[in-house]
Amino acid sequence: VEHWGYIVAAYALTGVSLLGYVWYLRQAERRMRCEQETRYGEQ
Amino acid sequence: MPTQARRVLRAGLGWSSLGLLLVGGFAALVLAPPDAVQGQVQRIMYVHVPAAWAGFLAFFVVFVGSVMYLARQTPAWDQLAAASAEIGVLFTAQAIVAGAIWGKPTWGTWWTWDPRLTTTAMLLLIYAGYLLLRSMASEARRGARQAAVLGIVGFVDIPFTYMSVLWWRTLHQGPSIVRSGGPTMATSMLLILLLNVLAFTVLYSYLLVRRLDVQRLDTQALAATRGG
Repeated sequence: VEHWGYIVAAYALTGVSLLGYVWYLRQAERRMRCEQETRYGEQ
Repeated sequence: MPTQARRVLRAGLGWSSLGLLLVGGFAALVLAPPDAVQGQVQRIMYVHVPAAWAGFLAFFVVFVGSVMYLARQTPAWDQLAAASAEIGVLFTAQAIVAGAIWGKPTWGTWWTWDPRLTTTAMLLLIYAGYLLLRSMASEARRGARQAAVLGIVGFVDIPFTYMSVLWWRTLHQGPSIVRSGGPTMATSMLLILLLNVLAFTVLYSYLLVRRLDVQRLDTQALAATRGG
């Protein structure tokens, strides 16, 4: 038995969680930059 | 650091971690030979061990940041510790999940209360608690001080986690790289493992720089709210 399903699951979960975290950082940064621009615009 | 230099550093770390992860992943899944005993499923090692290493590295940075924050009271050290703790929790969770997936076909169970697994789970809970403590603090400076103490005390679990396979009878295998008598694995496997460890180390640096950027913007927003 070669257990490729387990191998794919381990790599996929690691990859997806990393992509998810990078996406979360991108969203947080984008939101804060937007807020910053809005603030400067108001001033 | 000037914005331009920061941007170049960030892009450099991002592209090099992506390149190293792709090459490391290809080497692990295609080039590495199957293990003589475990067969193909041993390929999970190339993601499990680097994730565990990156978690340890991240918590070491939390420890350094916490000590320096308590010594100097400089917010930058606290921000470094907080950013690193979040990334450490991510990598440790990945190591636990990949380990559980590896455990099922080799040990016959997803989880067992083995000393290595238990001390790693404790590590995850300690630093998840660290993040919770920060988010629930009513006053930022007090929260940072309390988190720094936890960041230092929590680090004590790392030597226990690392040495658990030597100190107690465990199901988890013992050290196969850093041991007296040299590494036990084939050179081709060792090189691919070290390549993936390097990939996760560069990835950790990239995530840390990005997390610190978010924190810097957050601090600026807070200052602007108070100022305006």
